[in-house]
Amino acid sequence: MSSRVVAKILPVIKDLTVFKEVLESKNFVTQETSKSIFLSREGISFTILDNGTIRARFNNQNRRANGIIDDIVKEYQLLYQKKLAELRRKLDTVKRAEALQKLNAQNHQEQEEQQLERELRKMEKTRKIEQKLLQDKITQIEQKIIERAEANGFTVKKTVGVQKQVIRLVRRK
Amino acid sequence: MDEEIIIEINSETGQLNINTEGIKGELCVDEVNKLIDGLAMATEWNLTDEYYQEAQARNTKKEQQKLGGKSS
Repeated sequence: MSSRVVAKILPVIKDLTVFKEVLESKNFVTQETSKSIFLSREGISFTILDNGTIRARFNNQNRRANGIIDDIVKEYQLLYQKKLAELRRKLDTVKRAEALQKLNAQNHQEQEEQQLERELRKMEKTRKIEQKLLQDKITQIEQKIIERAEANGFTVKKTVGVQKQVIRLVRRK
Repeated sequence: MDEEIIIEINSETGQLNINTEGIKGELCVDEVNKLIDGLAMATEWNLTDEYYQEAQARNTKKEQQKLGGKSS
């Protein structure tokens, strides 16, 4: 009884875990050594070398061998794409959540900061307005006091300091 | 002696400190009131002993005048 071994180099499969998962789901028996993983079932075997090379061997008498190998490769690719998509989606979700969290935290901080700045500006503005109104009132009162003093025979001497203004009224007897 | 009124105005607080010199008795109160009436509110008066003595003398004189008027 002769046998013919056909080797088919599979597409480069970098994720051996996924490939193994596909094969094991199809009842391939795993034999693992330090240098290779051997999976076999009914005359079909896959050898995954530690350098990533994957070789498929099957018994030529197994008519379904090519179809099985194609299915396995396709399934691997689909599963890989699915896992990749899931991972990307998960990553995006996590990133979005993190970004959103950061944004929320930043926004909250900015909002708080802006509110404090607004309140501060408002209070400073109010204070300046109050000071200005007081200054205006003081000026008017000074002027009226001086007018009244002069009308009552006082001579007026005014001294302006930094925070204090002095009006000296003198009337000779 | 000249009559003197010194008005210090604190431009931050708007407080007025008014000191009078040479104006005796009720006149000092009158003179200050004339100046600030309607413009500022007097919150504290620290009058000299001389003012109270003169005020007391004036009141006594008035009472004596009243008593004298009644008797006459």
